Amino acid sequence: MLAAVQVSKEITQAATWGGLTGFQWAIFGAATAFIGGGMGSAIGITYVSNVASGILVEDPDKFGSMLPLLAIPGTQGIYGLITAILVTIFFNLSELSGFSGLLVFFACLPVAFVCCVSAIYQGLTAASAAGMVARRTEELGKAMVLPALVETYAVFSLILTIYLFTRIPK
Amino acid sequence: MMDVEPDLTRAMKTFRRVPKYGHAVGRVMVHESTLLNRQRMERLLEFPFEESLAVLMETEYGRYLEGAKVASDVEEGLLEFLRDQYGLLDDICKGTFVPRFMRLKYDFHNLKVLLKRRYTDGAVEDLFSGLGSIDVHRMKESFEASHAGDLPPEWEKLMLTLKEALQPGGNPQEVDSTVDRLFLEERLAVAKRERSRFLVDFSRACIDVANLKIILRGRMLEKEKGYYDAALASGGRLDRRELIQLALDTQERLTARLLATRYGRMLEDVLKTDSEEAGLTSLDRGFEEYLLEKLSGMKRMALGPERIIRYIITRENEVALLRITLMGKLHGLAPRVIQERLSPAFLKGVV
Repeated sequence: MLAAVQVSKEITQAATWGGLTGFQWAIFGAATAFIGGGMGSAIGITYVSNVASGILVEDPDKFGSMLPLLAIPGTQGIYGLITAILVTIFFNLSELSGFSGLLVFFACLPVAFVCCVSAIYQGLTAASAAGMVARRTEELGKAMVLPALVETYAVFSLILTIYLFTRIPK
Repeated sequence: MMDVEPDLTRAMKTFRRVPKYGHAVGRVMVHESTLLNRQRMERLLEFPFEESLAVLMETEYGRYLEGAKVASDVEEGLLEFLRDQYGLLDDICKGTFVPRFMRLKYDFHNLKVLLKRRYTDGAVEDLFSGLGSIDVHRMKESFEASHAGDLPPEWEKLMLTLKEALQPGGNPQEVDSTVDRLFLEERLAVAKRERSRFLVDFSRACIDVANLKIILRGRMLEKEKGYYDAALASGGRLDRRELIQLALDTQERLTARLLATRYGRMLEDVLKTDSEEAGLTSLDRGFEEYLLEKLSGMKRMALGPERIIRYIITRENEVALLRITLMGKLHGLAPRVIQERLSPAFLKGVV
């Protein structure tokens, strides 16, 4: 029993895990979070931009109403960036053990995946919502609610990632 | 084509379609807001001709119907409007098969006019439609030479089939049915080339509907197998060979089999009614409603070619409604009489 505890302690305090140091795992996690969020946002914005460009060709006066819908899938990229920066703020990377670095990597995954997928679907939802605004500009408020609902899950993923950061031994 | 696609495949298709059609859908979204609504249509029905025109002046039609006084002005204005709508379609859907899918019916209409000219030697120039994708003069030349010539490559096969159907002593009615069949089959082929699951389903439903009408009318007129061979289109959900067998089978077997198909509900009245004429009228109405139901399904496909096609079909319906209404007013018909002439299915299509 004592030997098992000893082994477990050695594993958690080892400088490397799976051939990577804690620093490397943490950077890997931060980069993954940003890549996921950034990629999703870029695709989501492309989708809504395609539709919005068509609407603006016919009715350039709608630019102001389209702007919030164009911007909303971009938030997931910001969450990815926040996560990446938080990794460097929360942890002293140069002294992070291999095991803790691995945990940081896993903690970054909710933002990486959920933000990527939600930004793409938010782009599709915002593109459909743009149709409501194309028909009646005063519907912008209602139109914004639809993509905002998709946003909820990106926010939850960021909250979970930050919560997990607080639980990782430094 | 699989009936049910795996979710991931379907999702990937959606992702690919947005960059391809997103811009076009955006433009259509703005034009959708200018479609005539039910209130405006009802106002049009109530007012006399001059006031109806005044109502239309506030709409997209204003420019086209300005100063219209006689039937030909209205006809010309509405045609010009449709031409511009198809021009928009060509512009926003460059590089896709969508304009071809939509213009195909006008190409085949022109082909039928050419056939009519051959059989009747009458003046038919006024009957040609300017909305087809193929220039009428090019089509005339190819038709007279009985080969595709300058026409798109897919017309070569069509011309060959027509050449066979046009043998001396042939029945003009059967040639007409052959053209209808070729149209439905070609439209399905275009839908497949566009790789749109919805367009393929819609084209198949149209084939089934046309085939069922042919069978039921053919039985009324006691037609032979040769008629069904020439007229029934292939590619529908109902197997063509089975339909030919059924057309020649007993009434009981035909009824039992057709009622078991997806079209059973709408065929119920037709197959069980004693009066053939009443049955066929309700059949036409039932089919019209079924196809409109399919079209309204396009509303759910927010970001694909379906939305664009739905817009064009709705505009065509709108123009048809306006034509009947304005012509009726010019001929002094009462609003109630005009309303009776408007198909309820068309009115349902008005947004």
